[in-house]
Amino acid sequence: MNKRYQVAGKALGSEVVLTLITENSDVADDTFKVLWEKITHFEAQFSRFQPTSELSLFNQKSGSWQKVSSEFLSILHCTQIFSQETTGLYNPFILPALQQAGYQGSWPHTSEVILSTDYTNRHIFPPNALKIENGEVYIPEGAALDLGGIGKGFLLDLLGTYLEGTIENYWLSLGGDILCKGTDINNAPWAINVQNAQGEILPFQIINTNKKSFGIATSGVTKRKGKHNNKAWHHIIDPKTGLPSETDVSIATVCAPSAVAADIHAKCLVIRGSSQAEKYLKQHAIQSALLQIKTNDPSQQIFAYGPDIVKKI
Amino acid sequence: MKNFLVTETTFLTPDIFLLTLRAERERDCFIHIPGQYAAIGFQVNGRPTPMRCFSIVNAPNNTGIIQFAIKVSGSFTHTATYLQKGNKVKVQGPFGEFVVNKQFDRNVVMLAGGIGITPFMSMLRNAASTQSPIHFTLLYSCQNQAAIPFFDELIKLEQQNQNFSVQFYITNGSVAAASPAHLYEGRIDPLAIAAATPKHPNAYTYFICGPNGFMNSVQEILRSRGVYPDNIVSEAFTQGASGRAVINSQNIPKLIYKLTSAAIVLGIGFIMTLDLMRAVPKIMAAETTQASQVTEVQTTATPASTSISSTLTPTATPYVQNYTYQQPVTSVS
Repeated sequence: MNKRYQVAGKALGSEVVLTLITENSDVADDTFKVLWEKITHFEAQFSRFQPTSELSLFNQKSGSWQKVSSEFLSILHCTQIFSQETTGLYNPFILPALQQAGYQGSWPHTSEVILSTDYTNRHIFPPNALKIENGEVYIPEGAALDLGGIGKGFLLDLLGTYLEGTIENYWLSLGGDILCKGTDINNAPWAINVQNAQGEILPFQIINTNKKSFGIATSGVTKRKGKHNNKAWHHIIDPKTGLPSETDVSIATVCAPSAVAADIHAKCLVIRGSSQAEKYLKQHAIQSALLQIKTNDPSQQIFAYGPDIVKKI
Repeated sequence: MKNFLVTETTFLTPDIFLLTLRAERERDCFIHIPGQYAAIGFQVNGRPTPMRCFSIVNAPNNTGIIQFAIKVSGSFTHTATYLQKGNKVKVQGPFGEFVVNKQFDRNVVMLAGGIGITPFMSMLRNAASTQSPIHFTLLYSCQNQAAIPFFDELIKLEQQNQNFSVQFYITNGSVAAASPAHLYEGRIDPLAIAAATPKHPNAYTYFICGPNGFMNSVQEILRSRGVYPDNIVSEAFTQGASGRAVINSQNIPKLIYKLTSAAIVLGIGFIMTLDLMRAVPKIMAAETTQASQVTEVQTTATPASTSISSTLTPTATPYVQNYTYQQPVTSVS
């Protein structure tokens, strides 16, 4: 008989919850160990807060062609694809602007600055400044890559790939970004709750009856924010201005066939704002989305789009 | 060995012909998996030819009909062009693991070079007739536009099957001005593969079939994109006296017998080793800590559908087991 197994812990600067449905406790046990190993390995490899991560070492040698690992290449190709798809709205070079705005140390210890990972004297470059040839990668001198906008989604898809063929029903959450597949033990589709800025559950759920895996990501200006030099900042940088985006969308939740697509499009929707949201959703064939909008009109505070957003009765 | 009769030979391009065979008796019929190949041989002047392997191009069926698209490139294939309706052909097979796994392969990228298109034709015809939910993208490299076999059919399959798209790359010639939008000049390069795989590279399974030079170049591109080796399935395709294309028909039963025996012995050994590797650390841990007693917990600390069943073994991992089920919540990350 199928049972539900769940573990939780801290990684990637956020809470990680892994839930598997399987008949065998040994399988669950072994799978959790491997998933966790992959998560910690990914963090060690791509955290911008760790001076010895592959990403930090790469950023330190900007301006030269560098040989990188196949995992790094894979994620960089992914950044290129989404930069093109979002016509530059997703830009992996925003790190200097993020740090200049005030987001420096690993959240929530924002005062903790390690000099070797300080890029406040560098600049934003256009996405096409990233060059990949014959397994080597180049970014211009004065540029720095940040995989924060793509990392959790990318990692979730990797974990999903690992589970294929062994676990058919699961949901994995990396700090609120989720990858789901299949159903719960009662064969009901997974019903994902959505939080508002205050951490309360909204009267909407995301329910996807598709048997394939799908990703859900939420992004917004209500977390990872603060004050720096008496100016308020948040971590969603508009690449066009190089500043925290001025937007009326406080939180955007996106449901997409992959977690990485959901992750990127949620951030882009915040940057685009509510007036451009519907156009953006159609343009990128996003299946479902839920926007929480800053407005005094209560009837306009929630924008629900697509078949997977279900109002709780 | 199965007996088939030639029903038709038709030239698809100046140097590729389609050989259609029909099973002589009902017991000679077989059903292949799309992507598999079979060995064929026939008699010339009363003497049997060696068996040669070719991919089956038609979709699986129970009519006893099989088809091969064969490039004329040596004495065997040249002689085969003289086969006439009613001639007997010996068939051995089907063989091969170059097949789509319906459970794991959801997004399939097919990379074909020249005559390497043949296994993909069977897969694509089968996908269209069974309305397969698997997404197929075919990148097909050919020397020139006139050398593309199945061109019209591939365009038609794309129109019929919304889960299939095709792009042709012409490596040694120009593309006619009035050609459909699917034709490109040049080789399959990293940009072409990147454009065909908009999700991250490891979300796809890559099937490669074609001449060795083509396969090496495509595999290098995939490696540089960070594609895991497990996500690449390849089939060397050489028609001639090298590689897997020639099978001595006398040795086939022996070969199968030997391979099966070896597989059984290796399989048993592997399973025993695996069991041992899993069992020993657990026994040792149980003896040393006495803390690994497996417990089954059923808690209903919170109402309706929030209980969680568990028989997980306590471990020294950096995560904790949740005994009260935590519902999935998406929040600002």
